[in-house]
Amino acid sequence: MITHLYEELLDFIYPQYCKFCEKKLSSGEIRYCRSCFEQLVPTKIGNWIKEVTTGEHLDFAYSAYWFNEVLQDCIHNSKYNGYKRLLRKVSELALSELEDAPEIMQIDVIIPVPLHKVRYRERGFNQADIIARTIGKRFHLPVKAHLLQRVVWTDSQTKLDIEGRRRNTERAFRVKGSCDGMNILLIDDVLTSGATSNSCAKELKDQGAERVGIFTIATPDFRLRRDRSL
Amino acid sequence: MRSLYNYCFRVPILKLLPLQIGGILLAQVLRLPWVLLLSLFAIELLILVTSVYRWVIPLIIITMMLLRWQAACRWPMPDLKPGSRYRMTGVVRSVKKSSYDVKVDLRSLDEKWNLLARFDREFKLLPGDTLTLEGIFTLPDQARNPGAFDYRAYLRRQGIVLVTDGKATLLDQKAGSWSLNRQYALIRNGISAILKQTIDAPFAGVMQGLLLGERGEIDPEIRSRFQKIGVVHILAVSGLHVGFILLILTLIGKTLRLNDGLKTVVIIAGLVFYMGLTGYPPSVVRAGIMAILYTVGKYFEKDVNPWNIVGLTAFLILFVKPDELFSPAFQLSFCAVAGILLVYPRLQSWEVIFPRWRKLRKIKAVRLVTDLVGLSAGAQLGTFIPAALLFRSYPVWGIFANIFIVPLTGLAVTGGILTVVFYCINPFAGTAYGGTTWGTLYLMNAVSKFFSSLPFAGLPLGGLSLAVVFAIPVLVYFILTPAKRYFQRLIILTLFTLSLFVWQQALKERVVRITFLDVGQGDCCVIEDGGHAIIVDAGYAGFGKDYGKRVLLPYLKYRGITAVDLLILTHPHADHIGGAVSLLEELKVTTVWEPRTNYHSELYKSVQADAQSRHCTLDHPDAGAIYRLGQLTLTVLYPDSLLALQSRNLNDASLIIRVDHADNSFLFMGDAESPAEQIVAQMGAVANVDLVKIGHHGSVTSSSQEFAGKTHAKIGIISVGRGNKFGHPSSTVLKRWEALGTRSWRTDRSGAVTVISKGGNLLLFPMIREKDQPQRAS
Repeated sequence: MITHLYEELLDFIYPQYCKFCEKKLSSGEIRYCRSCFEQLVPTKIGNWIKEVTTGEHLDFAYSAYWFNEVLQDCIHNSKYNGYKRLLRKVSELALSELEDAPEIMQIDVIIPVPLHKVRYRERGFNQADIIARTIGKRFHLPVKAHLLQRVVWTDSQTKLDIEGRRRNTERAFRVKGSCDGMNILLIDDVLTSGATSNSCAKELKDQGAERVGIFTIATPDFRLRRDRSL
Repeated sequence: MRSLYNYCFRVPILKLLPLQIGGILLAQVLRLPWVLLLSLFAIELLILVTSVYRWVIPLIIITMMLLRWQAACRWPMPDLKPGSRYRMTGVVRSVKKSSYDVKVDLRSLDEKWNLLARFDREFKLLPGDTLTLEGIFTLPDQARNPGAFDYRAYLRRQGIVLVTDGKATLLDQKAGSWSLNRQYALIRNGISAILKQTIDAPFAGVMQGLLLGERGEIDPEIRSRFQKIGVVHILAVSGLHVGFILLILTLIGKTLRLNDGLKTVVIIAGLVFYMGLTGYPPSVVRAGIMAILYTVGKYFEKDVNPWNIVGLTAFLILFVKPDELFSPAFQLSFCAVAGILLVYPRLQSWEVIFPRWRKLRKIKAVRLVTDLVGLSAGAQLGTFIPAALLFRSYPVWGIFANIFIVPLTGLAVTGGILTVVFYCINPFAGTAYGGTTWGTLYLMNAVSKFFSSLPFAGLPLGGLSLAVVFAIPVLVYFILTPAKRYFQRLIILTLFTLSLFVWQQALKERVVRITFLDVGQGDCCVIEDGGHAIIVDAGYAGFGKDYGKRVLLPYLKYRGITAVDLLILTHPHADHIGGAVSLLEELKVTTVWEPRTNYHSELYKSVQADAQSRHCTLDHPDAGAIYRLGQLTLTVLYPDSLLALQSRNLNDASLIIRVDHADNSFLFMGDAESPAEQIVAQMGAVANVDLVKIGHHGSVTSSSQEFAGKTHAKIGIISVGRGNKFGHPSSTVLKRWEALGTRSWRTDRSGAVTVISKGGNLLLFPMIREKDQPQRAS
């Protein structure tokens, strides 16, 4: 009764509507109605490391969904408006893609792809960290956010070509601590060319990591971009 | 209509707010017994809980507001005779200090009524203190003239029913125990003291206004200049300040790297503290509640619909204090927010039409300036209707002045806070930093000086009809909204608004409005006929009082009168010509009438000099002169020049004028006494008039039986000051007129008396009514 009233009151003060179909949201739905949320298309491709453009240091790559406008809105808002609950909800759904992955059994530690400390201070949180913690909780794995640090301020990747991205992220990361002989799962929100995670993997392996893989919530549908260089 | 209906569902509070406002308005006319209301409320609640009938919700809201009004808006008067000396013991609720005095809001010990007492500045008083004082208790002034400020209603909204006349004597003071308000007052006093130490005059007072909303010590010149250019809102703490406080609190949360929950708590606590520190003025409470609701919404990761937040804030405020609905501060505050919410997105939508605009807005400076223009334009547009109706004038340069003043305010508020913080750490650092803040304020003052020097500072709106007042902001809103066939729509809307102006002229009722203003002890009457205006006498001026400036000019502004066709000065006594100096200086007066006398006084000389230098036609009409203006005919009955020069008593030189409007006639007696009356009593023109402005403030030397009996007037007007030293009006005279069947209205009791002549029947509206209905005469 009390919870019901509380929900009603909250809904009266902040009535929520689906961002895509404008339908009134019922309780439990965040930002999108159920049907719009179901527009997330699982990739179901398993380990797609062979398709990653710059992935020579990565051992495996998993992505849960094809990147589409729902995910774009979701990731944008989680980054810039701090909608952490939404991101957690998406992460929990995205987990299922990892459940069947054989590599997950060998993982020792989860590391979110770090932000530069200036960016971190500006944003107040690292969205990859939130995803990592959701996954760590599910698989009972430790999350070590401080093991890897971003030490070089890098420009935004979005407008760079493949070579530019590679150069941009080279030597951007530094391992603080020991990762000797570890099997590491890197976590990020979107994997496009793989330049960032590849650079992380290179640094981790230089410091003695055994195997490094990457898991992301989304990836652009590479089947659609054969003609492009990314 | 359908989309509007759907919209109301998106903003759920819109379903309740109109009902609430309706309930408050209903409470004004409907007063039901408590038992009935309570049982009604209980039955409605029972229906809601036990059944599926949702229609009962509107009834619940209305009944709730009726109950709420009856509970919250009772102002019981203590069993005292206003105007007498009393002794009272009460608890201090709030203290307001100004350059001249301290005003203390005292709650009586039986917790039923409040008194606003004035004391000498030296007293140190804090909320919670128990005071015993002695003074003359009176009712606060009502609005005595049309468009004037209603101090009584203003104080009543704060629960205050009595004020002290002059300063009260403090007999005893007992310090109160700890209370939140007391702590706030202590902090406020501390901050004021620091500001006074660190920032040089006159800007320390401005800073106190900016930071704490204490307007008492702001230099009046600065204040009136800010008022003139439409940026006075920054001197009283407003929503803007809450915005800056929110910004500062967010930055603090970020710097301390608090988690989301803690950050929200810090912001809410900070806002609540600031509301208390400033003494809960409506604009800060409004903005504070809005900011809290926004922060909480963001914490729950909800999309916050600003309209719903604004509506909910209004709902909460009106629930706690239903009478705020009638407060100008409340109305202006919410209209400004609504205007911003309407206009601000419109400005962004221009990006659709001008892609280049989008590119330009990527530049931070451009974005900052355009955002400020948007905010300022929105607030100006939103407040247009209430400002036009309340103040009858519109600050033209307000939008542009705000662009400069608002960012400077941000700097100054932050600077003020830092000055106080630094001073607490190290007095020297505080003093040093105060210098920079002083610089900001100096710049602000310079900007305000520049804008106030521009022409057309205040656009007079008094002459506009309601339709035009409502049409203008709608037009501007559509100008700001880009759409398909934009120019076509623009032309149609402009033509529509212009036609409203034409219709306004055409539909103007052919009535003549005669207003006997309350100018204290003196005479002043304004006759309006469409666009024409005639003024008979201008009230007293002298000894620091100027009723021309205080009453006549504000009234003319309120009515939108910018030119006067004829100014009649019945005779050159100060209580009749005093206000003419200000009038001649401010407005264009075409003709001035006065009797031919050999009277000399400094005041009279300056009036004549003013009239000459302003190129007015100065005329000394003789008996028999006829003047026609619009629908009016003025006939001079008395005196001819010989009589005027001969009469030893200046009052007997008074011009006596009959004004005719179709079948209605009005007799203006000036200060004519019985010798003059005897002469005019012989004339047929005096017999059977509808209204007499009774001669010489109802003095016993006038209104002789012989003259009074001739007039057969239904209405007599006595223009007289409250508690004047001459003892006007005489009871003999009052009885005489009453016996003759003339109902007399006194400006000391009724305030200004407005008579509307339709050419056949008269309507009379006293400012202060004895009954609620307008008196119908003839």
